[in-house]
Amino acid sequence: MLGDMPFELVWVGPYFYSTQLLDSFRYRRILFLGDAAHVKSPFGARGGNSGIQDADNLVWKLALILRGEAGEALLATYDEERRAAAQANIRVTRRSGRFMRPANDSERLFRRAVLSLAGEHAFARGLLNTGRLCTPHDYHGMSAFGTQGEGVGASVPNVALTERGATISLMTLAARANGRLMLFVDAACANLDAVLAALVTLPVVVHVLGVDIDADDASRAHLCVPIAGAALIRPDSHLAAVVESADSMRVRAAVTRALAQPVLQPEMFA
Amino acid sequence: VNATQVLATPDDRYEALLDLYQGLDADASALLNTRLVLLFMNEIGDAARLISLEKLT
Repeated sequence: MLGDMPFELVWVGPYFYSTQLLDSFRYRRILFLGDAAHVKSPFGARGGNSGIQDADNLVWKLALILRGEAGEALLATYDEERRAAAQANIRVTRRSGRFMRPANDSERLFRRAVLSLAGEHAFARGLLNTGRLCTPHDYHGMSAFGTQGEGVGASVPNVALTERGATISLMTLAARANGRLMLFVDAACANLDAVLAALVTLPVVVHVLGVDIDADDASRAHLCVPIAGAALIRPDSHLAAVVESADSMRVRAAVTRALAQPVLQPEMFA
Repeated sequence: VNATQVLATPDDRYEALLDLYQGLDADASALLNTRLVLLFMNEIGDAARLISLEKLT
């Protein structure tokens, strides 16, 4: 790393780390997060970051349940989503640990080979692993998200939007929503009044793009709002659903799924 | 993966490979092996082909 530069070792000390993962992040009325739920080696700043991500995932769910705006079934998604994220983080940090502390002579030899090639060859620099920075986990395919829709499950970047001429960030809107979901609806949605009416009783803050919130093309692409459709974004910034040709039934179904509530039968919307 | 295919000039390739290792001690030879594995792995690229090749060993 230092090349031929002279250097002086100032301090050398042992460095311990271990990996632990709870079988479930929930035990009766106790919820576990951060290091209480998963202990991992700190490469890539995944310890502190994932603890904050756990909290980000959990608190809005707790708030909705405690206020009676969502059922307790929503809590199961915390374990499902964050335990999967913890497993992914453990896999990533283990790989970094294995690079930095080879387990045997063969692993040490491969690291020497990587280092010896890395100066000259870009591909070998890609193999250097001193920690992979923490990224949001993609919840695609999990029970509150499903498998439909490009980008569903991923974290939406904190894009800049415009409200009455002033810039406002997505996360400022999320904070203002106070634990509720955010639905961004295209103003060209066929029956906007019916969609808004269908959501009145649900914990969703609706923003009509082009009416009360404006997004430039780049921001709108991040929000994943289709023409005449809608995008449902959770307070933790994850994209819960993309609704094509938004109508009241589809939008309600998307919210219901995101809140892990029992799915209402279609005839109940008639 | 086709392990039955014979190289067009097998003796040339084999000799070139041996020449690469000429004069290397065990440590340098092991390092060269490993460097070659990494270079070949990158050149092949495709994960499914790599796994099939690894199974042949």
